[in-house]
Amino acid sequence: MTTLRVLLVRLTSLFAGRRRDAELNQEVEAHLEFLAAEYVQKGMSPAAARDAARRAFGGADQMKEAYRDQRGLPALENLARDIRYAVRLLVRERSFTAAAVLSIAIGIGANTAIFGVVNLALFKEPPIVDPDTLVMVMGFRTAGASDAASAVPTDQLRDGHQFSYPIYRELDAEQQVFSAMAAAGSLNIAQLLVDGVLSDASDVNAGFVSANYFSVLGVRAALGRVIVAADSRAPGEGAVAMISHGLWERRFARDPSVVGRTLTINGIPFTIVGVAERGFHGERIAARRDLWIPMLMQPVVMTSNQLERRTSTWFQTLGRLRPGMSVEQATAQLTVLYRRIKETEIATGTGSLMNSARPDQYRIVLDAGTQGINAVVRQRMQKPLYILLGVTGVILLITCCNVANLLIARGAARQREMAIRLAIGSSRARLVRQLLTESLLLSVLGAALGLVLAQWSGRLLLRFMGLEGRELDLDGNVLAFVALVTLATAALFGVAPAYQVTAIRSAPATLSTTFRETGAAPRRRVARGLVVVQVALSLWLLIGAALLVRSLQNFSALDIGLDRHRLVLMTLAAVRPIPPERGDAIQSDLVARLSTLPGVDRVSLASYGLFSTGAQTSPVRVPDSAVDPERDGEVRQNYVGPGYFGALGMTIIRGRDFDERDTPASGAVIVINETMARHYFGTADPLGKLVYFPGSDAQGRYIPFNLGLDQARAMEVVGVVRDARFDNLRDPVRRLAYSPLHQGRRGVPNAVLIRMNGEAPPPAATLRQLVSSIESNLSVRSVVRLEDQIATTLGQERMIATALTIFGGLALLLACIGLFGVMSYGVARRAGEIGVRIALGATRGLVVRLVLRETLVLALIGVAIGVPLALTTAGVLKSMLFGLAPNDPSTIAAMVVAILAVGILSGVVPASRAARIDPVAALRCD
Amino acid sequence: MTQPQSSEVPYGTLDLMVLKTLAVMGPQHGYGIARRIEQVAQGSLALNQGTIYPALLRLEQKGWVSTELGTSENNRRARFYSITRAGRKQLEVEAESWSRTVAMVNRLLEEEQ
Repeated sequence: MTTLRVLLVRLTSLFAGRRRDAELNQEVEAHLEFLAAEYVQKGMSPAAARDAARRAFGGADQMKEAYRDQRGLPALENLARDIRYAVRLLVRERSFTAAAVLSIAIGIGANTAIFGVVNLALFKEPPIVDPDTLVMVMGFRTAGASDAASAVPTDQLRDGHQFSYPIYRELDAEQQVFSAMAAAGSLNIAQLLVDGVLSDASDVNAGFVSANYFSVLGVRAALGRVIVAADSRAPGEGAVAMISHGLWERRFARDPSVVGRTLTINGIPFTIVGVAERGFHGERIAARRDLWIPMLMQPVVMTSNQLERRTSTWFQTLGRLRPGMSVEQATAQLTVLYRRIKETEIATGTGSLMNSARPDQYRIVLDAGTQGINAVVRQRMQKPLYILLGVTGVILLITCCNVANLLIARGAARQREMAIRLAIGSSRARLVRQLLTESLLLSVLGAALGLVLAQWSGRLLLRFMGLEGRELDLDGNVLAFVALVTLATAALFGVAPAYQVTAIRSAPATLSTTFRETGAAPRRRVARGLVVVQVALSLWLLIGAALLVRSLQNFSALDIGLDRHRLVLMTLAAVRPIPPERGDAIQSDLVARLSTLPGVDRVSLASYGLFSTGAQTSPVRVPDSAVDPERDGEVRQNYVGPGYFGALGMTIIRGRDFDERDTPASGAVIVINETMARHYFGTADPLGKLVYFPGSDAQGRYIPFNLGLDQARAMEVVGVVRDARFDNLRDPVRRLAYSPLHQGRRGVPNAVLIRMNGEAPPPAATLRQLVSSIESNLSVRSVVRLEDQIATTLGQERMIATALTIFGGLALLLACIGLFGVMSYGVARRAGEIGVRIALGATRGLVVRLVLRETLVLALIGVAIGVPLALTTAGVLKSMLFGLAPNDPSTIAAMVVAILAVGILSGVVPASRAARIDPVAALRCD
Repeated sequence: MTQPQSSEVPYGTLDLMVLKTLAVMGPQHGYGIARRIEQVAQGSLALNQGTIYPALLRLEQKGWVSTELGTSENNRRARFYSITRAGRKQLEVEAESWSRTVAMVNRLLEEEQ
């Protein structure tokens, strides 16, 4: 009780310090007067009486100090005083403060940004209730038959696939392992209207969900209500939409009246019924969803009915395990069920093309919990993120070295202050505490600025990671991280200098000599050590950056089999179904009208674009080939318009391109790529050979080959085209067969390829207008230069290369500043010695060489540490490098030369300063 | 006649002396308290008069002494200290404990002779 009361009184007295001091002074004065008066009465002279009074009273100042300590909380008051003093000091030394705070801000900011992304991508879970019992259901195939009841190692699983809607329904109807199943799929919005007004849909990622999706996941509505089963019971029923909290903020400025408003998606009006709770962007972290509509609306908003097709496998299927049901039990039971469904599909020739397999090759795999749902994505993002976290850690270290060096240099100037304070009774611990307070203050200021930098750069990073539109969340995790890093930073850069600066052998010695000599040797040793570390670390980063940049250069120099420059990809989407018979007219109009636009060289069309969408993959039968079709008989197919190969700059190496001989009525022809020719025909001449693709029935179902090859479906190979990359730059080219659009696919093609004369693509608005004037139900989904499109497939490599280049450059700059500082300081300290040398006849050239040699030695030691460091760790970059090894000697050599050159350069100014030393002045100075 | 040896104030007894003084004399300023203690000690105590101020503050913080500002006999603004009810209770406790300690130490010293 009493203790608490005392603490409270002392705390409150912290704020009344000055007044109480004044009162105490008055009290003491009064006391002394009483005493003096008493002594005068005893017969002393007034002067003698005052002296006697002081003696009787004792040391007034000690008493006041004791009184103050008793009154308040000395530790706290000292801290407050240290902070006040530190603030005054930092304000006075503005340029030092700015340099230090900025360095720290960069270090902490970079770390916070990366950690924020790590936190978001790897640690944060979507707000799903009881995530442990939610599993993702996927189908896989094994090479041979497998036992349904026992587990199969993951490396034997292949062809992971989602389910068609019919299979999802059948699984849902018959399974007994889940309390409920739900499904989700993606929806491409071709056109979006908000309350009847055309609105930009490019940043709205929409999805279909089964009507029970939100209740199965346990996601609540922040506003309004979630979509429920009663909304949508039959195909075409349920024109309701749910939007994400993010979209509500972005598009509707958190307007509470958003519920009840109308979103028109691809021409169909939907009523917004609710806003999903904050932080929910769909069940997967990598695929952000902003808008959900019932799955049964699919046939209405898209031009094809995918609900009945057994060949469209595009649903994420989720299940909520029944209580007590283990993942193993559920997997075994579902696998049995799935094999039964597959058996029927194979027997009736329905279902996906994978059906060449036997039923007992199929398996179900359950990924446990949301951890599982997101595990694949996390695995993909984990490595680059951890690399970046490591890199920013290194940057922080370099920053700490730099600030420590600044502090040491500044400490030299404060040695006298420290000596005086020690001499008048300050303890060394007290001085260290003061210096550490300054460091902490710098660190906190740096962290505050760093948080701002992190917010900004984090957004950039998220875009690179494919998490666009997400914001860095400064949650508990991130703030705790920042606090920890701030403290660690202050400790790292502050402790050594604090002890160094207060290491004073004796005050009189320090005070009587110039600052140049006292404690200079150990201080220089520490400073040089720090610079060496900086050089080593920045060389390390630079080598990593150079490797990745070289690798990107290799990518852009890579011959991809087509001319990637000046090519624009335009993707089209039908807002409402367009009658297939309009297709031919639309195709020729598109080509004709686009060709007249200024700057356009050639135009062609295709079913699939490049480096973006996939292509159709079909089984084939090639009767004249030695390849066993059962085992290895799948090729990709693309349908192309006239002049496609010419427009893309692809070379026909055998046979011919499609031409006017190939009409809808004439025999079907294909042009195949080199890989396909080699695969099926080896060195034999493929021209004139026949290839069979499966036919499909009225419902879009494939007619399997085991019912015999239909001679009417034979396609004749008329040409072989050079291999060209299709999906990305890294993977080997896959077998690909091209058919003329008018022989295979009627209707509107997805991709328009525009070869330009110059670099700039036609304005998007012009293209949009042109397309809608040809067909009002057709809209432009995207316009992108092929080179940009290719760049997006290298997102990770580019992100790390960019980050490493920026950080490497930064590190180099910091290392140079460090070298410069240490050398300048060294020259200043040795001015006397250098003066003597000059006086004794040393030439200026010799002095310059002396200083430069020392700089070079420091840089060389840094290189000697940095190169092995790079060699032992560059292996982590291996999977990201293309066309060079992680220990590529020429890259490493180039960076070593670069850092040595820059190192010497930073010694030039101190060296020339040394050469200009006037021996007379230098010798007089001491 | 031998001059009585003046000794340092035994640790912890200053608080007791101040409380007792205030209990006997009523409200006093610092000088008054110091003077009274010296008078009672009759020169057997080397009291740095200043030290009573931190002691008074300590007692005030514990709630055993209350203060108010007033004007002293020499027309100076001064702080007057008086003992509180809690202070009187504490005085009893400490006086009791002091007597016990003294008695105990005395017994110990007597045994030894």
